[in-house]
Amino acid sequence: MFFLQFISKLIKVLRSGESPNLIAGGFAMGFVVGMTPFLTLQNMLIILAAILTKVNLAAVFFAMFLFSFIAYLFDPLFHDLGFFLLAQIENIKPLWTVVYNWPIAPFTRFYNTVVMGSFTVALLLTWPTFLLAQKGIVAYRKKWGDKLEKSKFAKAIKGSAVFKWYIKIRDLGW
Amino acid sequence: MRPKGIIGALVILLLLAGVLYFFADGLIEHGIESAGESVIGAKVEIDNLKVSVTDLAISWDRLQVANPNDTWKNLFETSRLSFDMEAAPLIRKKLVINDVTITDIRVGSRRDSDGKIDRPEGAPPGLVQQATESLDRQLRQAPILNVGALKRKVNVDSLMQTFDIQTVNRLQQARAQSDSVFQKWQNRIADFDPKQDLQEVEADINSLQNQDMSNLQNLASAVDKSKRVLSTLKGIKQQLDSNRKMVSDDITAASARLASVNNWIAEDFEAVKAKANLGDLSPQNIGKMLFGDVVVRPTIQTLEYVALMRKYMPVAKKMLAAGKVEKPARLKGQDIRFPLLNGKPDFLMKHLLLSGATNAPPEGEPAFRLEGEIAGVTTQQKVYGKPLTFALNALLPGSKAYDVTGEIDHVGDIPSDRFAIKAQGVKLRNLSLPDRPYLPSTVVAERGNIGAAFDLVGTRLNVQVKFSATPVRFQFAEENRRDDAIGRISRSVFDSIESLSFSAAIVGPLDQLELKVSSNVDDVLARKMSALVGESVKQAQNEIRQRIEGVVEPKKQEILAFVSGQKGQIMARFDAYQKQVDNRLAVVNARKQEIEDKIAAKKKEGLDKAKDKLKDIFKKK
Repeated sequence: MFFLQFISKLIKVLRSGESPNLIAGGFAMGFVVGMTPFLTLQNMLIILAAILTKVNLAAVFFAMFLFSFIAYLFDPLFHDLGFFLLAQIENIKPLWTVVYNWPIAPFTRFYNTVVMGSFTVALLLTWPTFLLAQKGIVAYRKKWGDKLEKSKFAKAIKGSAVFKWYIKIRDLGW
Repeated sequence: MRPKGIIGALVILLLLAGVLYFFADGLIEHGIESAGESVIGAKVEIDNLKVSVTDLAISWDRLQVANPNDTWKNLFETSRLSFDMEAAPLIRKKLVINDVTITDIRVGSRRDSDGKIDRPEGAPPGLVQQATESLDRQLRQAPILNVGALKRKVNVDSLMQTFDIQTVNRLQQARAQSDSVFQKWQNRIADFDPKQDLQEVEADINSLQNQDMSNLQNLASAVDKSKRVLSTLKGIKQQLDSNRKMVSDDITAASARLASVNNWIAEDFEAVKAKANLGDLSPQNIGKMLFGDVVVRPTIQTLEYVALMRKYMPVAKKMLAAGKVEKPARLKGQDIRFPLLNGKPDFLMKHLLLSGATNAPPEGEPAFRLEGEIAGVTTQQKVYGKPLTFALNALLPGSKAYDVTGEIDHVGDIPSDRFAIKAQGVKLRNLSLPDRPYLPSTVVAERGNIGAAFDLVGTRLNVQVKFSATPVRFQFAEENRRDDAIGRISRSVFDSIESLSFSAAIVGPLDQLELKVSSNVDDVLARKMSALVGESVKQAQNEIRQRIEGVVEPKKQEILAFVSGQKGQIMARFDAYQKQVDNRLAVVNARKQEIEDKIAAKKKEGLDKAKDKLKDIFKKK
């Protein structure tokens, strides 16, 4: 139910007049949080920033939800990459040692292979993700929105018992 | 900015702070109890732990740690205690405490509930098991006094008939292993047989010898051919050398197994002696019989504690080892450690002052007071850079103090654990002896001197004990009193002794410890016992040794002859091949040299001709 509500909100957002930049910004923030293990200082700061700024929160949570599944699939690769960056490049070790000695280092968990691997990948892909999301939203509004609304898939979903039940419950005013 | 967002963030922060405020004490209390129980192996209970975030202090109303060997008593117990923590290390989940003073520690107090915890039975730590096995072996050598067994005429025939000489079985195993080794080499030689290669080489050598050497072209082709032949021969030689080395290693290993035969015979001899109860009544063995257990039991107990300390205070090598974990749990990854500059260990109590007393002494014995200090209690000595040290005084009423000192040094890669007890002219408790027939069960001593040192460096142990007491009285338990010849001798010896002194040493690697015990009782008791039963025992022992050697020696010689014969056969085959290869190598090298000389001559001849032609040309001009 929560997921349907979530999708419904996201579609509303996509179709609303909200700035594509704010939606794409939220999506990119959610992307970084979703791709990396949740309990780290950097994720808390990103979520705080999302709450305090006007980026779209539905986009943040949708991206977090979506990319946490993708991160699970890529976890072994993140571990390999993180181990390579932390333990196998001798030249960076002095830098890691300095960072490791900062008082806030334990909260970032940067010394964990999965955190390091996934955060590096997430950082590298943040800007492309933002651009893709931004273009996707514009394209959706221009070309795909109406088509999707009229598609057999959307009609099938809307006609399904689960969706009708959801609408009933929603309209109860919860 | 989103005002609702700011309010939301504040609400979340307040909720988190609330949860921490209400539940932190319980969580920390539970964490300390669980960690303590996993180390001690019995209940660790803290009453009313409070953490003050503002003062950075911890306090509790009572801490009791159950004794894992007697779970209805406490190992120790403290009443209200509070101490300060350092702030900065807490961020890294590190607990650093500078000074703690415990003024009313109580040792051995009774508990209201059983302090037992369910813990999976694990094998004893490796070092304890090794030491127990090797010390048990030593203690088994001590004789058991039994008048029937010692005075009877030992029937060596019937004894040997029922004894399975293990050396024979071991020799059979060694023979089977040698058989398989030699069979393997016979097969390898059959597979290796370079006859065909050597025939081809022979044919090439013949063709080389018959080759026309009149022009440079033929000579060059002869050089190529000789190089090919040489390469083939060198290949065969390499294979021969490598096989020869491998067979030599295998034969050395087979011979090394046979070198242990004398040890096997000695073990059989000890086993037959034990079966017939023919313990050796030498003063050394009498010493082990009387006081061996008294030294071994505390040594094993101390080793158990040392094993725990080595587990929970690992040396640097183990602590910093960080190979890649190939498949960590999903989304967990692996934490990589980097050196902490001025780092702190996860747990550190820099200085602990304590004083207290035993609460419930054994019957009829006074409580003793304990005071002293402990420094450097930490789980990571490498990080702290200092060993744990302690100096304690234990006082009985009306007595001088027992000084107990120690140093647990796990800073380097080889752990070193040292303890020492010294006491001069102290009041003594009764010394319990192991329960054995004919022997006293208790030594009642008034005052005496004790000195003991326990050093375990890596896996090498050195325990030295010295004890003397005057006056002493030996008490016999009713069930161990006998009124036969041995009983009378034993009682007369012990009744005549007014002062007791014994020294003991346990030295060596943990799996091969040597126990030596000597006391002023040994010589007297050994002389009197030997006079009574020694001659017949000695005769029986000699006969047993001869019987064992009589059975084993022919089998040993048979195997040695087999190994030597097989070795000769295999080596002869290799030698024959070696000779063939060496001969051919010599022929080919000689032929090659001959060809190279001819080439050189031909070249010179050609050059001379060319020079002559050039001279003719210039002359004509």
